[in-house]
Amino acid sequence: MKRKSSIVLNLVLIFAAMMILGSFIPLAQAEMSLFAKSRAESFAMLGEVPKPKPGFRMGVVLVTLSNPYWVSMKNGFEHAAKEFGITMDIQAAPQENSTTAQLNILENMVAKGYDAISVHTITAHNLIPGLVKAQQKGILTVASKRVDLKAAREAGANPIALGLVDYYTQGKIGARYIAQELAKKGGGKVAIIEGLPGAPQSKDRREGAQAGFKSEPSIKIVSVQPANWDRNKAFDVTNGLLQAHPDLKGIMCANDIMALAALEAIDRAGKRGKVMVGGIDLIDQARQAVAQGRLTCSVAFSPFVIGELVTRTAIAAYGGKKIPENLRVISVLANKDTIHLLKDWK
Amino acid sequence: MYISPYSRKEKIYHRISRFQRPGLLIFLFLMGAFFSLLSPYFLTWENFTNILVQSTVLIIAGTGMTLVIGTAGIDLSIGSILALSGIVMASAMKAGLGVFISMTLGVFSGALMGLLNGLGTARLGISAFIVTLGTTGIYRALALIFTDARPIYGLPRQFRAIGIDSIGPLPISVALTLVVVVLAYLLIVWTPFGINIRSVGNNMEGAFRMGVPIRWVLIGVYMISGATAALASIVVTARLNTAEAIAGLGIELEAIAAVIMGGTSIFGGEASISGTLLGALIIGTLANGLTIINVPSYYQQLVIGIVFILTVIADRIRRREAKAF
Repeated sequence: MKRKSSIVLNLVLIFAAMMILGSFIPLAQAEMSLFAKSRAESFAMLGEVPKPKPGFRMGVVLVTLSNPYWVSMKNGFEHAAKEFGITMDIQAAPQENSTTAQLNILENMVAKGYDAISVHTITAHNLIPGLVKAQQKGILTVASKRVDLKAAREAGANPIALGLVDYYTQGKIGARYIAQELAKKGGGKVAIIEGLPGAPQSKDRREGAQAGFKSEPSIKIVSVQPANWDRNKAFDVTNGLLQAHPDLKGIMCANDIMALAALEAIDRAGKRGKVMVGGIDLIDQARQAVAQGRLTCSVAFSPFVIGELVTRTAIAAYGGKKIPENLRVISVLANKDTIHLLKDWK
Repeated sequence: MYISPYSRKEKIYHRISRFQRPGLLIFLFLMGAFFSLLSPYFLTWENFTNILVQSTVLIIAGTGMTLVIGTAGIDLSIGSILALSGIVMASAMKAGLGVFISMTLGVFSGALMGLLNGLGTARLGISAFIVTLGTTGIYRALALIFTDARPIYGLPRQFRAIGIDSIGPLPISVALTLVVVVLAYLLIVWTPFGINIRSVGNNMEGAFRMGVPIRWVLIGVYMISGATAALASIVVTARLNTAEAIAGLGIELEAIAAVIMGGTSIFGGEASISGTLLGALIIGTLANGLTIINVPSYYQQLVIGIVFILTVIADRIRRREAKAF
């Protein structure tokens, strides 16, 4: 009897264990796509968006559509417009340096009188006269933080300024990952390749990378060099770094283009796999390189979600909601462990 | 009985050749009607002033270009002159010089750059296309070197008024443009210099034999073109409250298009300021109207390109038919 009951007990226990394990399996299989996750987290920072009034009209002025980054953002705007059922017109300047043309477009849109206008300015100042006109007409404006806010306020415009992309954090999470991986093997010397010296985006990513490396005491930054976002320059800089520091263990680059060039230079020097390289932006080539294990990591952030979040912000602000200070789109680390979760990243 | 010195055929020729500008005017009105049918936002006072203000830069730069093309020349460097002269006047203001003095300095620097173009063409005898292509690079590079590619920002309120304020209903930039256009018109129609421009463009050899000071005419038109580029720069710089090395990129092509649309022949001998004015207004109205009816920017460039080619074809047909008489 006793034995029988213990068998029954064992069976019950085994069954229970299987149930518990089984309930975990679907969870493991449905590991959430990082795009959906970071999108949801980004939206959560803004919180509930009130329903827009019927016939809400929003205008969007982008930099240019001759660049996939802005096209992806445009898609995000359109997606959000559909989701909330609002009317949206999107315009962009012909080229990345058409400052006057962009101002003309904004002024023409102001003449059409929207409920809200979102602008992504080419320079810190070129759209300010248009923002002033919008303010005078009572149009709600949402601008990227690139706008010189002090100058805008002096001129009589007070846009909601969003700095949705946290370049500092991007540099930091990439460098921190490299630092942690290297620390497991005893640490060593690392270098940073930054973009255009003086450009805010480059400066933020560089400082982030410095902070990321410093998080591990066994890591020593031996050099910080600019390569102007340029493939050729990065190739030459990497060659120089390898010459000067034969025992270099890692390089964090301020974008993927430069990181891929660094990989080329490392291959050429016959040091394939001996130097860890990180980039930022997760462009297609970088995605492949991470999947192949050549590129140690990249950092992804989504222009699509920026478009969506700006639309949500405009609707929320129009509905009288206070916009949180540090609204952000979440940047995500892409490495060999997470790359399969980034397939639907856009 | 009065007997006209012209034959009937010649009279018809004159009538047809005068038709180009009314044709452009009719086209402009049709375009306006088209856009106002498609959007209630087109035909408003606010949008009307938008079109005028947005066309000022092209009109001012176009007047200088009209004179140059009138001599069968070309000036590709006006975009670079616009950028560099803007930087000159902005730096002067930043250095504490008065607004008026700084603007004068800017215009003089533009004229000086034009003078170099003129000397290259008239004295060295290099084709205008090559000289100005070279100086385009030189002036743009100087602008970049001088500013280190950083914009000069934050100019005095008095100066910015040119870009944003109005005298009554008339924006100051539009008033300035009107003055430039009227002066250029008078220059071409009433002065010996204007007649010389057309004779140089028509037949340089003939003009030379008739005693036209060809070199001075050429140097003069390139100086004027440089000065108008600098005047256009005043409007751009005041509007954006910024002088930057990338200002005016591609303006030369738009200005040439406006001049050619206006009926000035690329081979010289004619110079129609009123035509250039209409050409520039057509380009400005197209860009504005297409934004108002929400056509994406790619298609805008497509439409402007097609309209340009069509007007030139219309002009060609006019000339050929006129010749047939």
